[in-house]
Amino acid sequence: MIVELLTALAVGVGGVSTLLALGVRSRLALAAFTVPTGVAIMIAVGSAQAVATLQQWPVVTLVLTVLLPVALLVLRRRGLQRVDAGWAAVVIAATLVLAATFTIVDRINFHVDTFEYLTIGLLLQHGSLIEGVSFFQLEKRQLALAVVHSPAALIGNDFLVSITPLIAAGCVASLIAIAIAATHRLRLPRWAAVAAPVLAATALLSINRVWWNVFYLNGHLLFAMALIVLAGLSWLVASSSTMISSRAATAVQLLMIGTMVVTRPEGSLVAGLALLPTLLDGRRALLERRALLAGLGLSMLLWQTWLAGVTYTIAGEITRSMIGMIAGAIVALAVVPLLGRPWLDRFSGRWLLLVEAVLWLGLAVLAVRERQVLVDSVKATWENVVVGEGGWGPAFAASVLLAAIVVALTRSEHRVHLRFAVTTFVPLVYILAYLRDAAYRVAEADSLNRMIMQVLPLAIAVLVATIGASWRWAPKLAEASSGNGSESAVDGGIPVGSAEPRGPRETLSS
Amino acid sequence: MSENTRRVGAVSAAVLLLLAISTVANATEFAASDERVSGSWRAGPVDDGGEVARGDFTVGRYGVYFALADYAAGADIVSSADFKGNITGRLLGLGRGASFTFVEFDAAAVAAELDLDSSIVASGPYADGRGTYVLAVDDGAPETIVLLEVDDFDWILVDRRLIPDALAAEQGL
Repeated sequence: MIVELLTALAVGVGGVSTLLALGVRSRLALAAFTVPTGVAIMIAVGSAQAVATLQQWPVVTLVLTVLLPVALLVLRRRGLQRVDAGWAAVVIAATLVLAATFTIVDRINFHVDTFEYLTIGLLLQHGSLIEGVSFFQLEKRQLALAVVHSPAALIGNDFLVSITPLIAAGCVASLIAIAIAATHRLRLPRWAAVAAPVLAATALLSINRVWWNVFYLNGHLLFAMALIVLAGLSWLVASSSTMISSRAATAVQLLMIGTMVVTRPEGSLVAGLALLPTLLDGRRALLERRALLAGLGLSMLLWQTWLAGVTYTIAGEITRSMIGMIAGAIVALAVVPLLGRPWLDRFSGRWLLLVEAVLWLGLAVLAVRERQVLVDSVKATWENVVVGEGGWGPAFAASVLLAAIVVALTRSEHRVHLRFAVTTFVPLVYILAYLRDAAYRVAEADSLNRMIMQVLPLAIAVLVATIGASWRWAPKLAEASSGNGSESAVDGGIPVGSAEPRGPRETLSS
Repeated sequence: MSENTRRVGAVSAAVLLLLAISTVANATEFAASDERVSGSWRAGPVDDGGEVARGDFTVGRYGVYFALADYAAGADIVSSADFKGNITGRLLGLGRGASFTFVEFDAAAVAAELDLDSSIVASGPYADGRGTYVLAVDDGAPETIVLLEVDDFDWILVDRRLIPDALAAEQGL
């Protein structure tokens, strides 16, 4: 229990301190983003140790997760007098209560992959990574999960029981924050303003597979949390939410990017796709956009280069995907100076369409070359998701279908910041099946079946952001059509001039 | 009420309705899916095959199953089980100081649900000399599942039939 609480304390203090140091004062933002921020700092600290020394010390990780943000907070003490210390304490206390509760519940789920993740952590702690890790193990399993569970070693255990449910709580809190922001910009009746965040949370938590993941020792939920925060902050900034400043959001987004890069093999790709609407959004400060893309490129380059070095050391060769990711990182860095060019910002909607089309086209080309992988993968997805072999079930499948129809039939300002990572996820995962040279399979433990969890909270956020949208066939809302010559982020509609900084303020009650 | 307001209101109502329907439908399915098949497990040292602990587990379709096992000999062993590729419980910690070298599940009780087979994807010595590890993937339906303790490090899910003979002999299986 002590180590579980110490870890939660580090996450809570680290997260709150970072947000306060960044100038975040909104109670809702502190409640929603403390755990994601704290966990991301912990992962950054642990990963930095691993990359620098091929070892990782849990005590150092916990201490620095607290000390670095607190030091940052002290250094930026100019605004400290406006800090709501009481609320910060409440957030940290809530984190501890949740951790204690989940520790008492003492519940975990795992399957054989879990062993591989945790083995990496044990090898890092024993300083025998090079000798003990196998060829594909590090590339497939990455570092993040090993780092977040590493404090368990302090009492001789291999994993923490409370950190995954705590991450789930951070995920749900982020979804609720997005739902509250989505309704706040509208003059909804009070019942609707309350119902939206409540229903968003219950829609997620009523799914049996979500509960399975809440206790599952794997990186999917961690990835989901980072993704919804990354895309959600883009949406909040684009919507001119007062919850968090653009600069603070950028800093938190950089932490989420780092987390995604070292959590899953596809993390860099998904992070890049999630960021794309922001990178092309002329209303976001250019410096921030460049910082985000540079952050992605640098973290990819550092991680993949280190990964290639370790893999070469143990096996005398590196994989094609490592070379591809390093090349991708270099391209990302090369594109940084190009951001903000008129030919990019002015046609942002078309660029997004082009990227999505290229993904589908790429999948089509692969399918023509080798049809069976796609056929088997789609069949497996049907069996897993619709028939229920993967544990999802028909009600979930029907909900997804209806949600997709509603989103497709509506257009909503800024929703693309949330939507793009979800819709591009579909062709991307099937392309990944080709890259790994194996179709997805009918099983709960199938990769794609587990990866669905990674985008599910964000997908619900997309639906929530549709509150206040207009039907696609209706004339465009006046608020969405005032322009400065560049395309706006109106999702689902014909690209038009850039919108006003404020989102549409409509009323249901008048 | 303006035209814009009416349109926005209709979409918002549709979204809230859809979220509500999804919640009810998913929760209903979740509850209905909670059909359990019970079985039992036993554990013991492989050298003499003697049973030192036994307990019950529950198998179901959708994943969240809370089946507490009976403990014996004060062992912190399987606390619950969820098949179809996953075993739930404090298994990772079992190797530490535990005297068990295998846990065998009653295959007959889970035959309909058990969709578990294992193939070894990696094995070899740990660099620090702590012993041998075996990692496996699940995909199939064996009759017996063995949790193999390897030199006080891990318990690892494997299908006995897929353990190389040499390794099995080394582990006394």
